[in-house]
Amino acid sequence: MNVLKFTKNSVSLLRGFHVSAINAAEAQSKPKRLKKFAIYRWNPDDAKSEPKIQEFEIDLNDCAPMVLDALIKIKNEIDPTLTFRRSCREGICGSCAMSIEGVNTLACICKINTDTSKTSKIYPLPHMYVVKDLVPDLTHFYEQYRSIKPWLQRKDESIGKFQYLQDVKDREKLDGLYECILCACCSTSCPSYWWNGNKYLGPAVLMQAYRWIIDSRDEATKERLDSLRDAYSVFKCHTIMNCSRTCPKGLNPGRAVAEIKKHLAGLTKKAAPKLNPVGLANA
Amino acid sequence: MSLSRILRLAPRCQFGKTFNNGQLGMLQAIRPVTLRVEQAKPIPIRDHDEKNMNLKRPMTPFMIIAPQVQWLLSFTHRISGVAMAAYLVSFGIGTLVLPQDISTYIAAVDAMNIPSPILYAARVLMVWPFTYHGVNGIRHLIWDMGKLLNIKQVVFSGYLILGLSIVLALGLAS
Repeated sequence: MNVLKFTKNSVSLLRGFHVSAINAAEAQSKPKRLKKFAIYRWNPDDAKSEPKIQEFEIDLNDCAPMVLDALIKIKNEIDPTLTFRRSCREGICGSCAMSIEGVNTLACICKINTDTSKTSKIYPLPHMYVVKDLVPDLTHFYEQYRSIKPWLQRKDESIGKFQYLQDVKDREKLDGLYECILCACCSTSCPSYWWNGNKYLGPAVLMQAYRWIIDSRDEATKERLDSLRDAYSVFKCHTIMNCSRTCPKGLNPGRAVAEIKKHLAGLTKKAAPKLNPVGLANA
Repeated sequence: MSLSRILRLAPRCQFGKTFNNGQLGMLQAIRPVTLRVEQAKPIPIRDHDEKNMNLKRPMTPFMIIAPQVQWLLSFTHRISGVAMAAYLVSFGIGTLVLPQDISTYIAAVDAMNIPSPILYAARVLMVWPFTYHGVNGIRHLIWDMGKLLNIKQVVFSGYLILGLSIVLALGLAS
């Protein structure tokens, strides 16, 4: 039996090897589809260096379909010094956020434009300090996220004692908010964030602020709103809506910011929870 | 050579010995590592801009952003507001400073015999900031009520108010 298994494995191995050989041969026989990528480069180790745009050319027949695949191919085969963040390669970690052909998106879920007559321009996220090449400094962005206290707050001593109850309808209010992966595509596409990023929180952080404001289990709604009650934190949003247009996850930060404004202006109030969150206290 | 460096290098020397003479047991090849729990050091708070400027990091360009209807219209809203403020200031100062009434200057423009299509185009251009800012202002009020905020609605209503403002400008100028 083991012998059989062994043969079976080696046969499939051989077949796989055979197929890959054919693929490589096919790629070589097809006419090359050479695509140019113009990529922003800046090297912090060279004291005199200025940011520059470097062009790379790769054959699309010999490359997987996404922009991240092209970047990895360039790093592997042409220039190992090319620096960018990447991790999950499936649009869930938010590491590879960058400006591709003028649109902030995730390189891993953005298809390469197959029009080989056009050069694809790849820049870091706009109006951010560069650490190296396509890597921006996101420290301030994360600090702003910390400042909105993105965790459940209760007035009672119930945290960690039992499960909180939440009605299905109340839970639905969090849909379209909790999916945010904090890739910073939206915040860095926002002109208000470019000019006032030190005091204006930006769409990504504000959407998370809203996510906690309307959570039926959270009791710090008033404190959360009061901390946003100034001329900059929220109201530097001029409803330009670049955020919602660019979001690679298809979320709508612009709407969340508008909802916060409504709460701050007293136009709406958070509804009482449909289910008592601490209903299991004496169960 | 600092103490920590010696400590770091010592186990490596031992590891080398094992392979050189082959007489030491494999136990000696294990690097002695002591784990110690340490309180995380607080990160010194520095101004984000100051830190990055000290590091001489460049700022990434923003003019690379692709032209898209939502921000172009928002930009136009700001520009049309500036244009109207310019009207207000220039006409206001004009009435104060200029010797004659405004009707005198209108009569003077009439007397120049400018062909009517050109005059009409100039009037449309003058009145369009007003109609655009007004109609888009209404769209902003709708947004502030939390409506029309899906991106498809934003784009569609954008084209709609652009068309409407042009039609209104054409009408007002005639």
